[in-house]
Amino acid sequence: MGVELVVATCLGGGLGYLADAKLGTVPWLALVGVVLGITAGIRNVLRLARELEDAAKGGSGSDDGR
Amino acid sequence: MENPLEHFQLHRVAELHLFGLDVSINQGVLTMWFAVAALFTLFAVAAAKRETVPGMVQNIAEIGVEFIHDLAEDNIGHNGHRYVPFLISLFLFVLFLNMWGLIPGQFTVTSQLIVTATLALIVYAISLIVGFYKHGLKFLRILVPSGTPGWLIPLMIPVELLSNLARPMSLSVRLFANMTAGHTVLAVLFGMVVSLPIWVKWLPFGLTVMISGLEVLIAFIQAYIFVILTCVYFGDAENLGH
Repeated sequence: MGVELVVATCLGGGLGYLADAKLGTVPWLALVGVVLGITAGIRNVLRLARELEDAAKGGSGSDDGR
Repeated sequence: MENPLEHFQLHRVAELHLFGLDVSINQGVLTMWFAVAALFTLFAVAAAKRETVPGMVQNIAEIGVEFIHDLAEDNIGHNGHRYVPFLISLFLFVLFLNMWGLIPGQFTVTSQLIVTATLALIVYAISLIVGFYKHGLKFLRILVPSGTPGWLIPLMIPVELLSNLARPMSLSVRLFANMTAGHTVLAVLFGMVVSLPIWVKWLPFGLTVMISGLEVLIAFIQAYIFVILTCVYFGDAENLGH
């Protein structure tokens, strides 16, 4: 679960930094990327928790849940 | 004390160069070949007789297949059975490699990020291909979850794009990190068993026994999680993620 947060944050920051390096606006896009990455990470954790819960329940909620 | 990370090092068994690429065979490649051969043999033996009342080998194979089949039906939907061959190959391959690494002296292939990343990228590529094949450009709607208010859409698209791109990364890092961490802990404790004086040796030794048991559980759980997340990603591609 923690992996989701780390990976998404690093990905957001990394892509932001790459865009920065291209455009020459160094800290700003990376900061925006980190914030978006954290948001995406939290979203992934919530979604993952919900889906693992559905899977643990064993099928009954598979079609109506999503 | 010996370096606890040493057993993750790759050693070349045979030098091989093809078209200017270094494709030398190392012990990881050998282990994977062995895994494929062992699993293939298991299923060849299991499917040889096809009795109504299954024997032991056939029983093991059937339990495995049914387990994955139910997982696929639950998480992907009514098209789930189409993915069962891929999912069961993935599950047994990862499970075998995880378990094999726990045998002392054997190499853990799933502790190599390149292996788990390749598996995760295959999964990701299939989910994208299925999504675009089934839904065409409408597949891009997964970037806007249903029920998003209009003013949030410009914000949700980058967030969803990032969370989607993070999927193969987290899938590969999770498996790799779990395997690497567990084996490093075991190696450190074994190092202590060797290097500590005799009257405290029992403490790290007892811990290695307990953690080995835990590692067996983790080896199974990680293979299970890998496959269940694969099912979830395929399910999102099949049903447009709602």
